[in-house]
Amino acid sequence: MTTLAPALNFSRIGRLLGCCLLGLAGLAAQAQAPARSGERSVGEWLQRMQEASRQRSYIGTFVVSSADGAMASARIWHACDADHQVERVEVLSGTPRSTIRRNDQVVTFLPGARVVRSEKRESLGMFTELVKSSDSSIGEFYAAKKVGTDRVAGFDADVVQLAPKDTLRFGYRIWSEKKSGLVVKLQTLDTEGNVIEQAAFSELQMDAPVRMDKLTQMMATPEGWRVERSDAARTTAAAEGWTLKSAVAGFKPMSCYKRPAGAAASPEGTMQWVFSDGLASVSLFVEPYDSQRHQREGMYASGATQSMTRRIQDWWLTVVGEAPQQTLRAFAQSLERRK
Amino acid sequence: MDMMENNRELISALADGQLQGEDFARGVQVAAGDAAALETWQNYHLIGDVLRSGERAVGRTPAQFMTRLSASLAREPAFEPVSVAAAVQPIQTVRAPAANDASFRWKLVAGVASVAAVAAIGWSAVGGLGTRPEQAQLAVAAPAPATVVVGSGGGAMIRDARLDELLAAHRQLGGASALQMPSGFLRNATFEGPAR
Repeated sequence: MTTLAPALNFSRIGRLLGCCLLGLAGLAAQAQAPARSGERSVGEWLQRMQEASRQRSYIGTFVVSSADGAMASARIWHACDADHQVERVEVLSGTPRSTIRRNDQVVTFLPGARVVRSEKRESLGMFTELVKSSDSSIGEFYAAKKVGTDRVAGFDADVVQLAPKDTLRFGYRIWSEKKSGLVVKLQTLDTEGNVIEQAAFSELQMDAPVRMDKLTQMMATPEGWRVERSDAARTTAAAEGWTLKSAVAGFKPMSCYKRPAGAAASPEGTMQWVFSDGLASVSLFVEPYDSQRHQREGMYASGATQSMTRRIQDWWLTVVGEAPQQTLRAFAQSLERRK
Repeated sequence: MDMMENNRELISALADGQLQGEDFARGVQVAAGDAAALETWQNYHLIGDVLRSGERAVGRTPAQFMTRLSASLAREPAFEPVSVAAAVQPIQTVRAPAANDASFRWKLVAGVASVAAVAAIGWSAVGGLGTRPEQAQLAVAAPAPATVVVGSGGGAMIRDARLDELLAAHRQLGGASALQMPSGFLRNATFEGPAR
């Protein structure tokens, strides 16, 4: 009995302390934002989701559908260890295609044309850092809120709403598997809250026995196939003679590339200037105006990806991004020639 | 006799859904013209039903129904193809009945004057047109997880090979976000955009 008493006391003190701390934390949270105590922030949710994909192996069927009725599905194999991530995506709909990614190295096989596309996607690593860093501004433009729980592909998931704080970006509804945090379903919502695209696992096997070495071996070029390498070179917008008169709120310049001349499509090369607010990204493509090819200014939407074209003096601008049309227009209006 | 033969052919074609425009209007007029024509119309359907399904077909139409049919036929305005297109638009859900739904065929036979005149032509179009408003409504009405997709807004839609190239380039170098790992990457690898 005597040994129990202090233990009880300790636990009581602990509880009291805990209550106080929770209360304080709650007050602090309320002062910053109307968040409930214990609720994860945008950054915490995103970090949890990213870590899940770095720590778990899985096999599943992934389905993407868009507002215009388009649908695509793929079989996914994902393996990882402390340093590497390997992923195989075998597309089940449309033209046969399979993609294998090892960290930022991406190889796409197109069996129909017997072509292998090999590229390095620097952006893949970039965002991992972005979420981790404390100066991430994602929280300035999106608010995270757990809106419920649901079941996807046989797994219990938290449903998290990432609501934009202005009309320059889309919102997201994310289903994050309860134990691991893995994203099992993702919806993109337009500014009115309508779903314009959704992606989800229809079937998922967690901690599946996926052999990393087997997947890596599959990246080898089959005999007789042609290898195409990405020919985009790094540059800066300033060096290409472009600037933004005023920034589009939240979107920071991430990188700039130039595709070399030569192809009939664009004799003097095309600049691609990439912006992101952490969740959404926008590419500005600028090429010399050609009255033969560039006839119509307009827009096009494919799922969450929006695009618009516009003539700027002697140049032809194509803006592509997972953002509302008005955001693309803001970029188009702000882009300015400096040479 | 020739006239009778012509009318029968017309009714047959009407029953097979082969008539359009003025021919369709004439077909309906002939089929509803007199008792003999109505009987022919009905017999063709009966034959068709038996041939198609092999199941025991629905019996003869009650006389009172035929009276109502004639009356509604008389009230029916002249057939206009334009109004058909307009009539199709607001239809939200048209479920094709099961092939063995005898009562459906019965309705098709009986109600041909008022309903089928529009629907026979409209059906094929409804499949495509009817889905959009329905989906849009669904998405607005259901904010909960199970929401389906919506139609995108209007405007001059542009799409050519060049835009496809740029879309691919965006996915490759720009289509990046914190949701990349893994969903963004999976999304881009899976969804190359709809085939044209």
